[in-house]
Amino acid sequence: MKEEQNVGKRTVARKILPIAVTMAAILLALALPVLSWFARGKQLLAYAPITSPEALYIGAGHRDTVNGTFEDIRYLYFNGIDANDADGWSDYVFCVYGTAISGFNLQLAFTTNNQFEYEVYVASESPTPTANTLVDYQAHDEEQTHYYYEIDQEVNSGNPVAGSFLNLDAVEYANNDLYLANNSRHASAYGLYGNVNRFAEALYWQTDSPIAGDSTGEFVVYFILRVKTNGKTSNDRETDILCISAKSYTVVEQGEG
Amino acid sequence: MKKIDRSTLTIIRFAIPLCLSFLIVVGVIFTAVFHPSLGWFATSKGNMVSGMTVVTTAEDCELLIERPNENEFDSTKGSPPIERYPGIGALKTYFTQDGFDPTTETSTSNEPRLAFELVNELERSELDEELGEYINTRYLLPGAYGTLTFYLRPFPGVERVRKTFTLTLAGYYAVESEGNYVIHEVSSQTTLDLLKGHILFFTERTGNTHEEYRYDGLVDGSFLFDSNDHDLCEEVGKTDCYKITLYWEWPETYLDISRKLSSPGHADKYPAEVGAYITEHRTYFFAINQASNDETERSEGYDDGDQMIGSQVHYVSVLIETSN
Repeated sequence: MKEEQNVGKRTVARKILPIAVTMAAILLALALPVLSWFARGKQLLAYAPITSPEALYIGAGHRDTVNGTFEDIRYLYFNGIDANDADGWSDYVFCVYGTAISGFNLQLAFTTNNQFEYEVYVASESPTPTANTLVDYQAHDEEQTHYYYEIDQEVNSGNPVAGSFLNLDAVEYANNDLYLANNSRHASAYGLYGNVNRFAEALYWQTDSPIAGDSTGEFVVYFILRVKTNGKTSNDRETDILCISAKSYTVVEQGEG
Repeated sequence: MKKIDRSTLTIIRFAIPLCLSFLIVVGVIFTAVFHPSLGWFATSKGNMVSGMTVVTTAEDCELLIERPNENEFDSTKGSPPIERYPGIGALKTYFTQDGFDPTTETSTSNEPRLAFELVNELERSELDEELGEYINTRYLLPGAYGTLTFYLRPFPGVERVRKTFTLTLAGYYAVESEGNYVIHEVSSQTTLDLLKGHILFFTERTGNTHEEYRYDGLVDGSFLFDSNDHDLCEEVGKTDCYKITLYWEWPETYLDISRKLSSPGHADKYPAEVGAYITEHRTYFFAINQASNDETERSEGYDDGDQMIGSQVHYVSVLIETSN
């Protein structure tokens, strides 16, 4: 009798125990952190968008928007400007080209050892020379094609692009007829350094209002840079640095409503 | 009652543990595959049923991120609204296919692979030529800076956590075709190298405004976290976590780095180690003039590197992993 009861108890226990342990095991399995079983590492991924650079470039003469060729700006160089030139000036061509920029400003930054005057005219390009051609530019393609540039009389009546100096020393200009920079932009160029020759202080000139590009597609604007010696001669050879920059700028038109 | 004979008893003795083991394995696989959110289960590791050795793991903590209410890069523009950041939807789908969950939830989440937005502190107003109006954007570009934050929660009973985190940068570009975007990974090693030098990560930053920022602890591929050196987070609901913040900046020009390098006796924006990092990894910083030590040539190389990144990479990602 007792044996039967004990066997009965053992049988019941044998049934309950595995079930209980199984349930405990399942609960335990559910309780474990998920991927510790499969992936030893843990991974976090942070993401962000990057903007595209503005497509605005400066080149020497000729830019072909169809086949994408351009003349590297290093082909714009000024060797030995003769101050005795009969015209009193020398003309050079450069261009600003890009994509989807509605307007840009031009800036000239130059030292003033040679007291040159700089004028910028919007130019038009022609495959053949005309009576008004000012610059004959030889491109660096295989055929070494020539392109001819003249002042575009339809832009601003053929006048130079309007601009003003950012840091012209007005006193020196008025009294001594000298193009010199004042101190207002000294820190940008030279930081805390103080011993700068006054003719090495860069003079900054900038267009007054943006020149139009093309907000929807590719564009190129040719310019003639006129370096005017104004007949000023000296026995010294002087050297200057000239930087030309273009920066995109847009004026939002305030429409109605 | 029939007595169960010995052989049957032996079989049962082995069969039961076998069945139990099988059930346990099935249980864990079942749970793993179906990814339930187990935030509130994670602390039960201490409740092991004695005598049961289920899973041995070296893991002593878990990583969490906090989801914002709204994703910055999911914002739209115009009417009818379109993606402010073209291709962002396709990018998130791309991440999802890789097993990274980029969905927005307001609670702290501890899914195993998480995708979330890098925080860019620089907001710019730019003219959208198509819309003809100014919109605010938080694109990354030279000059941008921000943070990357995640949380580390040690399991109960774990006294100290020491983890090496590795950072891996990747790039993507979106190609539009018939109104849809297709995401491709940037494969050019040159460009991927440039990302490592142009987007710099640091473990420390001081200063209240960008002009005052001073960085320290340059992350050169990986950084070590030791909980002994940090205090637990004090924010409500996270007091059992360590908050780990990385600080990043995309220096605008080479001179922005070289003229703001700290040196003995002179504390500046970037720690001195950045100088050595540049010299050791010239391909990370310069697309051309890599052999040069001249400031102007290096500046050109850096600018060209910026141009290369900007024209080839539409989206960047930072993968943070720990293997121990």
